[in-house]
Amino acid sequence: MLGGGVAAAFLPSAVSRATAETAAVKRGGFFTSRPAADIYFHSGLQQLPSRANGADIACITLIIGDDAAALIDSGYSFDLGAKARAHAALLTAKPLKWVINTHVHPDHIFGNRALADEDGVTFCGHKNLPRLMAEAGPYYNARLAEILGAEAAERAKLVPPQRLVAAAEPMVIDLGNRRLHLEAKRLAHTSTDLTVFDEKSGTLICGDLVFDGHVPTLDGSAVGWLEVLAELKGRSEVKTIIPGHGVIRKDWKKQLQKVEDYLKVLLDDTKKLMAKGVSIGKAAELAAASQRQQWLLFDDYNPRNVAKAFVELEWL
Amino acid sequence: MAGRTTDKMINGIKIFALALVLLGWYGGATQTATAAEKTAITEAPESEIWGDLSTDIFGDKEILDGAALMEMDAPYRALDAAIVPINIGFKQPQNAEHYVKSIHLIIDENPAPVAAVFYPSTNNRDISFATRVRVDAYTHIRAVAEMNDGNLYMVNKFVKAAGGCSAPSLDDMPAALKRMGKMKLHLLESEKEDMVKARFMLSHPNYSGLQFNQITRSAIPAHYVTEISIKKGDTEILRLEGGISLSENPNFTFHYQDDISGDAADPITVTVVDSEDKTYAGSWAAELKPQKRFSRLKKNLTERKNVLPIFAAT
Repeated sequence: MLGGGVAAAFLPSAVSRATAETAAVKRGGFFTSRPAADIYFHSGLQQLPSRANGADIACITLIIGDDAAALIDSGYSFDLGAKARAHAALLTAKPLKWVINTHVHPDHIFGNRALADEDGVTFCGHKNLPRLMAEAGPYYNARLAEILGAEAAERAKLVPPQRLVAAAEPMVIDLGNRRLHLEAKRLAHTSTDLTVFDEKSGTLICGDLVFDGHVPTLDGSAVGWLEVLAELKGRSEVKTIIPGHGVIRKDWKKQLQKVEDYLKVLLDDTKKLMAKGVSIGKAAELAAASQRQQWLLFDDYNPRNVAKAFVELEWL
Repeated sequence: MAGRTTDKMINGIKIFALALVLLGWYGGATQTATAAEKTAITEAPESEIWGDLSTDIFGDKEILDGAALMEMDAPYRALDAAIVPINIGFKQPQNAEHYVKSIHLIIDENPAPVAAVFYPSTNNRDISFATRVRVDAYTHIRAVAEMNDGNLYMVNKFVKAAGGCSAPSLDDMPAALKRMGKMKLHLLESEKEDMVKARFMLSHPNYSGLQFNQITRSAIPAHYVTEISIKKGDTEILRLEGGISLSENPNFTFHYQDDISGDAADPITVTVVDSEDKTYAGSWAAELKPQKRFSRLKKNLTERKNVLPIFAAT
């Protein structure tokens, strides 16, 4: 490895940089894949968050432009945010000027604090994000304490976004010859969903609008979520998508379709059970059972998804 | 058979709510009860608080085992601590000599332990009911029925859930506000002849007042349903006094005989009062279809039916 590094110093600069980046990725660092030039991706574990796995369950993406870098989501803890920051520094000398949160769930936002003292960093998120962070913060912090301990919870103070994106007004940030489009969505996975589109590579970072492996978790509106997915599917400029959980796949439309199928089955089954007068508790055991083999952690999250869908359908 | 909904409503005054209350996602994954857990259900920990609670609510009165009178159905592990379904099935009809005056629904470890007090009609053949509650910590949930002779009877279950009372809503406020005060009444299939099973739903945040807004540095004020009265014609089927332990969008399933008011054609009227002294009212035509009644009658002529307790579905 040292030899490779030394040899790289004598190569033409573009090639040497590529080699150095590949080496950094290969070194088994935090960002273990490079889906496109200057985009690095950390895939979380497909497990329930625990002390043993450091609650490292969600995806984090790094995008590097000519002038600056952006981090999309920051992990479930201060430590994960710090790790992302440290490894970003290994991959680029460009300043980390943007931290973008795809939504309010704790596994995507609690690392923010570890990036807060970056020189000139700006935090971005959905217009609803500050309110939800304020309301959900203490509750999520209590859950964090249960999983990672009181000390980790102490350090995990939330940092809300300064730049807000409203659903009707997408925001564009330029990393230097690299424009990112931040788009706030209607109530779907949560009420704070935001996607990031990288013009240069045609990569769409979807946050938890797309789950891969890990069963989708419903905390907003199943009907709304399906609408958003239909909209994303129709975007011809998208070449790759990055999910909030799981890995990047070549056939992104198929990956997205899986989530759609799950939500459709969830709604259909719940609707049918409701029509038969089945109680919410019983419905949670039965609905979407046909999807069980398609997903990980199905029995951990599907029953609650059913309960949420049930209540949503009651008021449709 | 599909439930029948009639949405004819007379709306009362609408109020402005600050936010809804719903559980945030990372309550930690809740797992379905394993076989081991199911057997452990009877070995729930003793409640330390019940002695004091019982004195506060009922004084020194002895509380008897209510297993012969009623049965409680509650999930051992709640899916969502903000909408825990509780069913109370009563095994005996009300009658003039022996009737239930009130039922206290109590959640030991909640900040407001008395979730609701139900006052059923004294001539209702089936006072079974179901509702959804918020559960703040692992706790016993109890139903204490007071009889006309003054005796108290109790059943209870242990429920594992946490954080229901203070968890925030992840809903879209504008949509929820638009819906505020809206009511629905569903008539559902009842297994019992000439009985109606109905579900009443109200869109209301039932704000617990226990959420803290870090930006404004203040608690989001409580705003919850305090009283619901359900009548058929002039006859009150059910009245209840509620508190912050009832779930957001209070939801009640109840039963009554079709002729409880003397006229099956009498409309159902529901009146709701909340902690801001706002009232809402709704009215629905709620008559069993004639052919349904006929087919039930026919059945009764050809077979003897056992009277089984009905467990209301939430």
